[in-house]
Amino acid sequence: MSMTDTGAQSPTYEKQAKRLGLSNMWVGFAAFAAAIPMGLYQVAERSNLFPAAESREIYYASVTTHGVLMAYVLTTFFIMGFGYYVALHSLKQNVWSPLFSWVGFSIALAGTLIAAVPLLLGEASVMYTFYPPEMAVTPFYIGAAMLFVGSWFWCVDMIVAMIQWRRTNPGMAVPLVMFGTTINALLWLWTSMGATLEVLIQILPLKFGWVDTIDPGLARTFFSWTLHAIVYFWLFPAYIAMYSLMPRESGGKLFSDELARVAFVMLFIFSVPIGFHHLYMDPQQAAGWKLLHMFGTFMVAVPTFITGFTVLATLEVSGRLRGGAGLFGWLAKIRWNNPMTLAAMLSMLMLTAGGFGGVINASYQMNALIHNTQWVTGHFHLIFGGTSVIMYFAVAYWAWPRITGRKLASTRMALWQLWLWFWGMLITTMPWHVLGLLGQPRRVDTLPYGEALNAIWNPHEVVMFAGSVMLTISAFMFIIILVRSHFSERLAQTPEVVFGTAIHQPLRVPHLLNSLAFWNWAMLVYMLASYGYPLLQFMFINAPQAIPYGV
Amino acid sequence: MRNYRHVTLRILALSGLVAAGASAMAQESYSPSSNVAWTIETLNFVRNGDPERGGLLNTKLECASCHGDTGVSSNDTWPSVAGQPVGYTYKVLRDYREHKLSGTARGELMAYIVEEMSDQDIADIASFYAQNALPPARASSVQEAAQTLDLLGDPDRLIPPCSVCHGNKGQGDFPDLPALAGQSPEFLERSMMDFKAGYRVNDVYSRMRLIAGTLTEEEIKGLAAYFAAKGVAVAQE
Repeated sequence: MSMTDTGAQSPTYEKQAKRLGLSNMWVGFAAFAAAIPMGLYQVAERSNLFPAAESREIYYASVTTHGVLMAYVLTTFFIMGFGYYVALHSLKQNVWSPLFSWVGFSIALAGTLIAAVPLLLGEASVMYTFYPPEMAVTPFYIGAAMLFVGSWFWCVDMIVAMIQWRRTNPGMAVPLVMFGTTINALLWLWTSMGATLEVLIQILPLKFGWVDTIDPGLARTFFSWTLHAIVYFWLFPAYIAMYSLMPRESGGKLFSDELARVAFVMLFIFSVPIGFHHLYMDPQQAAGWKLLHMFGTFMVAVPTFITGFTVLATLEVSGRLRGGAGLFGWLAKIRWNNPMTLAAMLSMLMLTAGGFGGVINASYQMNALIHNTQWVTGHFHLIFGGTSVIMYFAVAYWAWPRITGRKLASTRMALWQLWLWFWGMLITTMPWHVLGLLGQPRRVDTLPYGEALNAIWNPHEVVMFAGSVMLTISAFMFIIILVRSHFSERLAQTPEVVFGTAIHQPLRVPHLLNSLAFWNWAMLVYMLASYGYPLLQFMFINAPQAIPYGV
Repeated sequence: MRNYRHVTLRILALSGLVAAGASAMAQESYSPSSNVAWTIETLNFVRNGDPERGGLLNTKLECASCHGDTGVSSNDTWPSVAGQPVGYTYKVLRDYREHKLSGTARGELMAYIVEEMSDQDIADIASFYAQNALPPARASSVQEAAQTLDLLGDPDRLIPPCSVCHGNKGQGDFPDLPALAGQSPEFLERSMMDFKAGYRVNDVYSRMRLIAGTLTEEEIKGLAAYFAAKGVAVAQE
């Protein structure tokens, strides 16, 4: 690994990358640390193993806070921090306005704190999906909206940075890591618009007393716009790390730069206009629209397979470069003692299992079998908590020595932490899948369904609890490693931030794989086609409105 | 010819009688459990009740003589009404006034008392009671069977947990689910027995009739004591 002299004066972009990267990522990981004990509590509460822990109010407050912290706060801040860090380093340029970046960070942080108060007081126990007509107190929505608005500053920063770089480097291929990061920023702008419209058009007018009723069908349609694509927003940095950081960390080369760009573009296009698989059991949309969205959802399998293929091919390249031979001999030569490499492989394994479940969820009819069961909880924990978050850990282990200039406190402990997270996630989520097939509902605090069902469910509940204890230990190991790394031995030379290159690194790539404009227009057309009429119909079908319920 | 006319008239008269009888029967059997529907207009009307005026009515109409100055009854014969969700009191007084509770022992007595009350009077007095604190908990030993019914219900008999509707603390819930905490055990027992026997029919969709119908008398007594022993210190919104 090449090194830079820490004594030399760092360029401004490096300082900005460190400050913005570290601040954002620490907020995200602090939220993660706060959310973890809540997850353990929820599992304990549902397991029937600890009657003393059972409390309906605490359970729903906990589920909501856990969901909001993990799905909105950890992800958004981590993605912003990672984005700033890799964007500024890959382009070697400053943010166009540091003040703008810090204002965005401050708005997002203030929003998080504003929303945290009612969440912890149990005045916003509406789950992170906050489906109307269930209502939380107004500060919850204002805080969440501020978090979204703050994150848009980051999106603008990424897009402006890419435009500036392309102007100064005409015809050159935008670095892959930046192309992925910017397309994710654009994806987030599109994604977050659905929930934002729901809050602006429906929820806030209700909370301010301008209207008395709300249309849950419209609200759910708006939220479906956000609900699936947000998963790809979370997943994008994991893929970016696999394509841009893992090849170098594993001692090899990326299989194909162009293929990675194709995967990014396809993930973008097939992520937002396909949200109706979250509405399969809803009455407000017609079957034909659901079918259209179903085919779009299945298309996501293509970039997922591309990524799976590319990651494995990249690992094979690195294994063979390190002397691996034969059909599977290269597997033994891979640097499994490197956190990034190990995490990429474990992430892929969890994506394989989670992706299989996802195909069931996306299928219009099979979805009915697992609708609102614990299967769904198992699926999204495997994809988000497993596939995405394990890569967040790996990114942090990669970034911390570069940001702090200090040695990672314990690489060995980091490897143990990743393995424990992997097994903990499988041991927690596999029983959830089985429980879902056995008909156990999700989103309930107790399971009073009679002795016969409980006798079938209970063994899985015990396994699930054991898995969640492993996850909790792993999570705290992660936080301990990060904190200790701030006080560990200072490195003589800070590792340089260098991104992986492809076997055949392109200097130029086709325009469609180097620019976002065409894909942005394509998204607009696809969105109009898939969401235009389904939203427009609410103007004239005169569906009865619902009376809001809650605090 | 005259005979035919006579027969035709008789048939018509008989048909008229049958039609009238069928109509009356239909009206009887399709009479709703309650005339109160929670439309947004009704909800807003109830929300805008004047508690201050309601307090004056409580005295003026002599409600206080049975239900207490703040709605906490000093005699277990009469229910406490303080701290009840505003929607519950509004609905139950409307139900009394509209003879939906005529089958119960006190139904016609209350119907007579509230006969002259306007909807506005009812909304105001409901708002007054809602702003007062629930009655304090009674001293009683908690029966485990009652607690199980409250928190878990009984799946074998399709009985949902009481707390799902009436709140974890027995504090009642939006829009018209009554508070049970600290309530007179005599009243609670009488109400559940009335539901069980089908004397009380103002529960929409027969929800309480279905539940109480499967409870034993012993369980009803246990639940009445259990909820009387629950206490919620805070006033309802």
